[in-house]
Amino acid sequence: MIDKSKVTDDNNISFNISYALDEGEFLRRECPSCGLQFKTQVSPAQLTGLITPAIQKIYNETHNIENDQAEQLTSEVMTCPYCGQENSASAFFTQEFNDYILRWASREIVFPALENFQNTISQMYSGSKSNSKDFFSLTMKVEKSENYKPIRPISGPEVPDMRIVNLLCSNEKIKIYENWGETLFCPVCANKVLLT
Amino acid sequence: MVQSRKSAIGSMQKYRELRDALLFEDDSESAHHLSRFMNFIDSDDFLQSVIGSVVTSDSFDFETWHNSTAERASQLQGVQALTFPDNNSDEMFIRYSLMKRFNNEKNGIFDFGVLIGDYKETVPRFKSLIVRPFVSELGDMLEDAVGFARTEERDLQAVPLNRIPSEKENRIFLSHKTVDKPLVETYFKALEKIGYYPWMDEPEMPAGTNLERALLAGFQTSCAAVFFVTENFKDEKFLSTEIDYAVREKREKGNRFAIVTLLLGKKVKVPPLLANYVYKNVTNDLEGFYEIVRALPIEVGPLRWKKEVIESES
Repeated sequence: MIDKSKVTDDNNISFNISYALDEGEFLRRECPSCGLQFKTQVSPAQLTGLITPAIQKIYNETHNIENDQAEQLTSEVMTCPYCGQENSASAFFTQEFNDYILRWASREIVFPALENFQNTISQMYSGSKSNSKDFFSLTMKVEKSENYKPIRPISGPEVPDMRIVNLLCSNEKIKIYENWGETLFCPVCANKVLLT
Repeated sequence: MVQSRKSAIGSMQKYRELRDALLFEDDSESAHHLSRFMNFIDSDDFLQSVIGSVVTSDSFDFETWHNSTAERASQLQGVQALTFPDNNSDEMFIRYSLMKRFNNEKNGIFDFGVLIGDYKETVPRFKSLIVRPFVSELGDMLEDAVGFARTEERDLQAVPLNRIPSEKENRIFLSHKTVDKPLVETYFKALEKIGYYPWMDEPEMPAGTNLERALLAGFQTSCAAVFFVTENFKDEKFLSTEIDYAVREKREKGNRFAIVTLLLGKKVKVPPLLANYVYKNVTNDLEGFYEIVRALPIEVGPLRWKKEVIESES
């Protein structure tokens, strides 16, 4: 939920969102170039850093706020371990992850904003207006429709379909397909590595 | 074991696909997705192995719960009529039974509105109050089940290519006086056993070999030279040549070549040309072995079971 009292003066928001990682706290990624998937280890702080710009962007667009700084996606760059293509870290989100963020935002940001808008319209345009001098009078009643909040998104269970690789070049761990061959690119430093 | 894990993974992927369709696709298609989801739960071996005992429970009387909920709904219309037992399994059983009933009955999910006496937003309420908690709990159960099914596997190591020495630069040259060969052979076997490639004149220089060329080749393919200085060691003839070669390799290869001198004996002194490099007085072979391994510029790989251990089990 967004705690509105925590919207700062420059319209940055704070929020609580959780996403299921697998055992060992690995997040599934997908290469935008070759479409193959792998996993990287993320701390809660890193996950927050990845999610925040996307959430902020949706909030700003919903509330018609311009705040380019807060929306700026992470400058962190990542390399696909399979094809070696480099891209921004946020480009490696899976469709499931993106869907989860959108569904969460739909429920926690967009829906409350729509409710608010409906309330405003309802208050503005309900009632009757007439002019005793005129032939016509107008009575309008606006009823706000009861909308059910979108269902809370669900993540996981994370499928254990990969194995861990310890990258000696960057001291990081990733997970790759179990039947992958001998060489990889390190997602962190882009070094070509050999599996042993 | 590998096959059952593979099929479990396939089941989990299918489960997620059907679950998300049921929860997030358009409400007008819910009956269709509910049918697919329930058919899958009831027929998939892996899911049945996880949830079978819960959904076929004899201990909880669903019909009594259903009737008392309907009665309560006649007074407290809406979701207030919906209460669940404290027991997790019973709660799951109720949710499953409701989903199964609504899947089988003519009016489908809309019977949920009948049950709680409130027909507003029946489908989203059904998804939110019945389906979502059920699939969330089931997801946790599946994750635990696959975790147990998983065989213990060693993590892989990924070594950057620039850290892998070639076969032409990974030897360890063992320099010694011939009379000290039995001592040095002990070190040779130990280094070989743990994965290094030590170089010694025997077996590297069989009869008829050009000694000078063989020595030079030995150094050129090495990443380290170990000098075993005993009271027998003298900086002359072949040993003198070996010291010169070692120093030359060190100048050319820098940190990728180590010179280690072991002083074995109280009265021995380090040869002058080797004084600028690592040398250690050692009192026993274990100490000497440790000093060699510590000084080497290469390291051996990850642990694994010996081949004969695995073969003895098959």
